[in-house]
Amino acid sequence: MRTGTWLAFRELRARGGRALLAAALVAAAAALGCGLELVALGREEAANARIDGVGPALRVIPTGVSGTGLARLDLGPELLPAEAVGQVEAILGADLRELRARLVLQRVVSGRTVPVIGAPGVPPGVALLGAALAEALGHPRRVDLGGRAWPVQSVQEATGTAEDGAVVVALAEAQALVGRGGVNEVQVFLRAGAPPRAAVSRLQAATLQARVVPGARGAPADEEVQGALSKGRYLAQGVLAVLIALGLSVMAHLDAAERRAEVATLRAIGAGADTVWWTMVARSLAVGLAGGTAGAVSGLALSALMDQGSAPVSAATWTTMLLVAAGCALLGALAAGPVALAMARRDSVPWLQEG
Amino acid sequence: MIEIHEVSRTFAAPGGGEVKALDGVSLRIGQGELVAIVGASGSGKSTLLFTMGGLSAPTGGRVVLDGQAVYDLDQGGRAALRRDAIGFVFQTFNLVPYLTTLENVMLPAILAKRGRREAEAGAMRLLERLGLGDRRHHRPAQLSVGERQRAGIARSLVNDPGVILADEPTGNLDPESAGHVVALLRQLNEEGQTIVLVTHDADLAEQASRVVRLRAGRIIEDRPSMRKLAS
Repeated sequence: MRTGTWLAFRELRARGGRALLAAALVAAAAALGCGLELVALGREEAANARIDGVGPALRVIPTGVSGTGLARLDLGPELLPAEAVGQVEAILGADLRELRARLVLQRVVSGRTVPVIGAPGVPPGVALLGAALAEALGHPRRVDLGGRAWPVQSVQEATGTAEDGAVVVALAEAQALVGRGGVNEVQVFLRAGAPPRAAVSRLQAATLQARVVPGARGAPADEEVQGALSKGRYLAQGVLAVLIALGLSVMAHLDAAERRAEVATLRAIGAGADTVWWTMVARSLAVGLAGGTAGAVSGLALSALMDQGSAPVSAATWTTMLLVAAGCALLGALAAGPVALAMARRDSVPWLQEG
Repeated sequence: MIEIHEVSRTFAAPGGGEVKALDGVSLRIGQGELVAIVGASGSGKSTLLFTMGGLSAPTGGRVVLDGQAVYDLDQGGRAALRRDAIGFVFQTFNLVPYLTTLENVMLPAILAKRGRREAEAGAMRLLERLGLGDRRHHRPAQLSVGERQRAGIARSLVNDPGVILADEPTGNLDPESAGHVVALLRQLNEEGQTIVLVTHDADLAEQASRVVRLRAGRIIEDRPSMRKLAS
């Protein structure tokens, strides 16, 4: 095996043109596959990584609201400290993709006690209704809240969370409803690939005077991307793997056809069939490994281009890159194996005169 | 010593049927002989050489090298026999193009697991002796044809084999290089090396100690060479 490895590497060093081309092909396909996988994994992690509520402990959960209910008590000492939002940003740093500071309270809306959420980005003077609440109220055009009639701008898509039963208004207007500034919830969305457990630990370790409640569901956008990718991802990767194997197999066949005299010489001077076999397989394996490694590194860069919300490097990223490189090396060995076996076993005497 | 008993070798003919390359050949080659096998193209010379060397199994008969029936061995055993007991020299040199001259000569020793340092020392000794010491880092393409053949001969000698089998060793050489190679083969033989060579060249054949002539796969002449008779 040592002699075969030595021969394979001496040959790659001396005449690596075709090997380089094959490695580039492997790298391109591996980069695409790796990039796709990293984006999918990143979104998968992001979907599971939402930290839903850095805020005071929940004390009131409206009827019909699940365990992660949103409504807080009437405001009082339960607001987050003013510096909490800045602290969260500082603690999470590059792992933070999006942060939403909200004020969640409980109010009577058109005769029902429901959560009212003050959120940034909502136009002033209008209300957005959760899907379940809109259904319960018979899809009204206006709702009564705090002695005012609020035009309903839209009905939110059902998410399966307590927010389906809530009213969303502009943050400033929610604060005006209670006559105080401040927020009692910070929603945190991590970058794809950022480890959620570590983020929770870091937040919990900080003295935020707050409780960190990891959410049960991810952001709809992450789930959409994840869902879309999970459908075609394995098919695309299968096609790319076949392409890689095909490219390496073509290289192995061309090499075999051109190097018959060398193989015959090796056998004549006493190389065993195993040495001849391994020389060819090692060459292909090395090409696959080099291409796969280059592809994995390029895939990391590609994933950042394909998905702007993508990750600083995580453990899953390293594992994926390692698997891509190892998989390409394995494909290299498998692609060259049969032709190498045929070369090692065939009667080589007619090739000896080819010089 | 090489003993060949009633060896036959048939090949499938392209248009169907069979071609008899060797037809009941028997031959005994003693230690220290320099035997030239001659004959027209297609007479079976090279087939006989490769059959002797454990590369082409006969369809009938036996080949015995130093008491070992060559084709009783499995593939691995025959590879080991070629590596340790036989040195091959080819008309087209058959050096590995991506290895240097030194590495080409070392290769059989490396295959014999002799250790890199020992293999390199042995190869260097041979290259110096054959006048190729200063060409050791050159690749085959950078050598003249005569140098390539000398490198091929050095490679055949590196494991100190009992016999050298040379297939048309001067076939691709200019007269001057051919003369050097013939002189080298004779010198090796005078030192006790057994050599069997296949050649078209009548002059080269007469430099041997014995001439075996084949026609249509049969031995039609087996005689001492003119040089032998003259001496």
